[in-house]
Amino acid sequence: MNLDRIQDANVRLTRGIALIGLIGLLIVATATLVDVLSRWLLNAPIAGVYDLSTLFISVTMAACFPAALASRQNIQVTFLAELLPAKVEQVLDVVAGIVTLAFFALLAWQLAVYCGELLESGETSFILEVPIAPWWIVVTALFFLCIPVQILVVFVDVARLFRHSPAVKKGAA
Amino acid sequence: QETIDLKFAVFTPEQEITYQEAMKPWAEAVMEATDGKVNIQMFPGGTLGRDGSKQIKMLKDGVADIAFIIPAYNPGLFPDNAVIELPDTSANATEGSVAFWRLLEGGNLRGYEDFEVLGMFTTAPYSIHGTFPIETMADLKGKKIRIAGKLEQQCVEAIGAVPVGMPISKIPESLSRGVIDATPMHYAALHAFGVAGATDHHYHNVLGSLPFGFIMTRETFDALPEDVQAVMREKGGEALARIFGAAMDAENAKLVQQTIDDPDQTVVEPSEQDRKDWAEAVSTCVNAWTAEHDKGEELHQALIEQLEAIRAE
Amino acid sequence: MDPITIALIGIGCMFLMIVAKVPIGIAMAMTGFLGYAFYDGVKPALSILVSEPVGIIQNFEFAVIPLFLLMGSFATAGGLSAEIYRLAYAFIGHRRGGLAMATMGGCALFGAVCGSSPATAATFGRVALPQMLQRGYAPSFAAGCIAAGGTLGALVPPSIIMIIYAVLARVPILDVFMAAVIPAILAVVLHGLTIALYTRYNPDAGPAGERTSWRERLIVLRDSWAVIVLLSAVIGGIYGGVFTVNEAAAVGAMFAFLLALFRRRLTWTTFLGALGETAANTAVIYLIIFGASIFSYFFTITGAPAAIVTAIGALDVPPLVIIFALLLMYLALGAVFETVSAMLITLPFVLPLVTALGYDPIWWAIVNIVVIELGMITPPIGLNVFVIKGVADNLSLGTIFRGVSVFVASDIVRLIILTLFPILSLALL
Ligand code: NA
Ligand code: NA
Repeated sequence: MNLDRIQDANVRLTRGIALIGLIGLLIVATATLVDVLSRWLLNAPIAGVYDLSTLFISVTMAACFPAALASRQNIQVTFLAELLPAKVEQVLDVVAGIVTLAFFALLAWQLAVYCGELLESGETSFILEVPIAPWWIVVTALFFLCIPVQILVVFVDVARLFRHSPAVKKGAA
Repeated sequence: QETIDLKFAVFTPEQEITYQEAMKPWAEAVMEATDGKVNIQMFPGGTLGRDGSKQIKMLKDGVADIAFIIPAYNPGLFPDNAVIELPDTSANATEGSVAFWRLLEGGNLRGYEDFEVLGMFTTAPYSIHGTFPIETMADLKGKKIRIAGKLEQQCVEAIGAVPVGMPISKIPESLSRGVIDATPMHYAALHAFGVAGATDHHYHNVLGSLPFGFIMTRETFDALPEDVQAVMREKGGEALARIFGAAMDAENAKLVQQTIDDPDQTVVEPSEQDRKDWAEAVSTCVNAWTAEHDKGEELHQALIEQLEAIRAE
Repeated sequence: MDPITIALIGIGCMFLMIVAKVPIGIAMAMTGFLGYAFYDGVKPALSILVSEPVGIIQNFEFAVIPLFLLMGSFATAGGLSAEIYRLAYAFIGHRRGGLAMATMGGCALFGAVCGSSPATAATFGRVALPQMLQRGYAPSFAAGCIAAGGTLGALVPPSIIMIIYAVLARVPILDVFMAAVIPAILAVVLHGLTIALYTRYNPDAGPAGERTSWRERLIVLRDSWAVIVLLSAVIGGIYGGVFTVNEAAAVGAMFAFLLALFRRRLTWTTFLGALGETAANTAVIYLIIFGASIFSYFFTITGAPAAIVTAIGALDVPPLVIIFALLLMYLALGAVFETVSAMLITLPFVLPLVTALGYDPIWWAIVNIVVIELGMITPPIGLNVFVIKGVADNLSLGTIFRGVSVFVASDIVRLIILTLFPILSLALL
């Protein structure tokens, strides 16, 4: 199997999701703009904009995470590890990838628990009083998606470790 | 003997009156009365969790043992609370707090079954604070007023104004940017959240008040020794509601006087006629609420009865 | 175990993970989670692990971060940075070192539509560096100038790091923006003086450009209408009392988008590129905020912040000495960490300390940001320098660090001035 192609596919798919999320953000920006104009020109701000924006924003932000993981965008301190032999550094990459995976797995699991609590309590938004659980289920699904994405990232690193090929650089593909 | 350590999470700032006049004295009184059997460690200012809507989750997950909550931050969890938010009910924090406590103690309010409510209070009723002259209710017509919930939205619409939703932290900036023209608020919050600097006209017809308090989960409370439970109840409950209500009313009176004395601020007490107009206008949102809510009529009646009883005492 | 020991062990574990290339946000989150679990049980630790991210991604105030990032990306895609630069050049390019000054001025103006320091450095590295080299500027001086100018992206509001500080320290974002105005002007003035002095003694490093006639200047001004409209909408909107910060971010992002679209600069590729870049940067920033929040819970529950405040309070040294000690600590941290991480790792104990000493948290926002931005241009890890290296591969890191050193000196002077005179930050509040 071609590692570059796995890496590429991972980046492409997740970037598509992030784009949908950010187009959602542009929609929020447009709604804010309409709200501002309507407030100025018609003295008729839209009561629900804040309410819905909050829920909408959670989803759009969550959509960014898989892409960041797939493209290995992260703030790391690399200069010390770079002093080590290349092989050791590659091992560190794998370990760091597994720690990252552990974090996202824990987070996704706990988000699912949180969704369960929301479904049970029936919590609603402040003003429009729409149930908030469905929105958080979408957020949770996006964080669950981070798990296979990060598994692929780690897999590629492990495979490269055994195939003696150079490490994948940040933001590759 | 083993000390029982309890973590008390307070997401509002340490300087706030609720912390200073209710929660801190209560914790100190409990520790003193139990002779060091319990040690209550306070975490004010959100150090144990800054998100107001996550306090109940924190209790259930054991992050905190006692937590300050504003039930309105979890819409849908305490369906009957809104009764105290109805306009034209309590006249001050003392009677509001005592009445609310009695409703709670009498089992009138749903959603609290899994909790031991140690203290529960209400703010003074919300008067209107704005950036433009307000002489009568008519001046509010078409003005943008901040709201934080559905009932408030209906009431603001009932007085002819335009409701705008936003979190409390955004109010000062939004007032100075003209995003809103006024906000309903009680005086202590007006100063605590930096809104006082952005408003110069204050109008004393009122909307409802907001309940808040501190609770434990039933499970954690039941695990405490009985004598500790007894002390906690004795130092809280109606007795604390009275003490805190009085403190808040005193604070409010002081701040109102300070505002009146400030030449740059105007404070308007509504005329007899204006009060009547106001009561008539807001009665539509009260009626809408009682009609919509499954126990609306019953709750509203119970509150009115409690308030009358307290006023008669 | 006493709280400070536990906290130190926690910090030690975190640093160990960071050195082993674990992403900083993840290292903070996992240390915080494990430490909390050790201290208080797994269930509460799991609760914090989820509550914090939930609170952060639904926070309306943090949502301005991607909007400001988008505005910066669209502004770059729409060619606004080149226009800003041309505008600045038309007015001061004829002086000795004028191109460098135009770069500084351009960075400051671009900083008003871009919230990030490396993004500003990258943009001007592409726009200004080739021009400077073409006019015979010394490569090290030219690159150093852009690296230093890049920090204006974070020092001129709107600024991502100011937003993060404001939300976590619970002070109004607008106040921090307001407080940054005079310090940002001071930065431009001091950098301008530095350029004038440097080129006076090293005239070959920055030869004068051609003088632009007033007629041409007016033409350039007219052609820059789009830049001027965007700058006035954002700056005027925020400071003139028209928009809230959230609205300015939304309006700015939409305006920059439409501008790029109508200028036909926005192909599918650039549009997707801008969105992709914003998405990745947003997630990275959020991840660090998650980590810092989770870590700070662990830190708080150990009682370490209070213990540190008490211990330092007992030292009986003047508060200013403590402040300068903190600044030295940040210079050391800046050698290793990127800006946002350096601030977030330290905020849980530094902020209580600073306020306990009686200082204004808004003043500290400015001083804190200035000192960690200094870390962006100092070796061995200077993100802005790396970014310039990225766009100008033929320059060595050593060359760029050498060139930036005069600006480091100017930054240190500014830092001392801002520390000694809080009024410069607080006057406009
Ligand atoms: Na900026
Ligand atoms: Na550095």
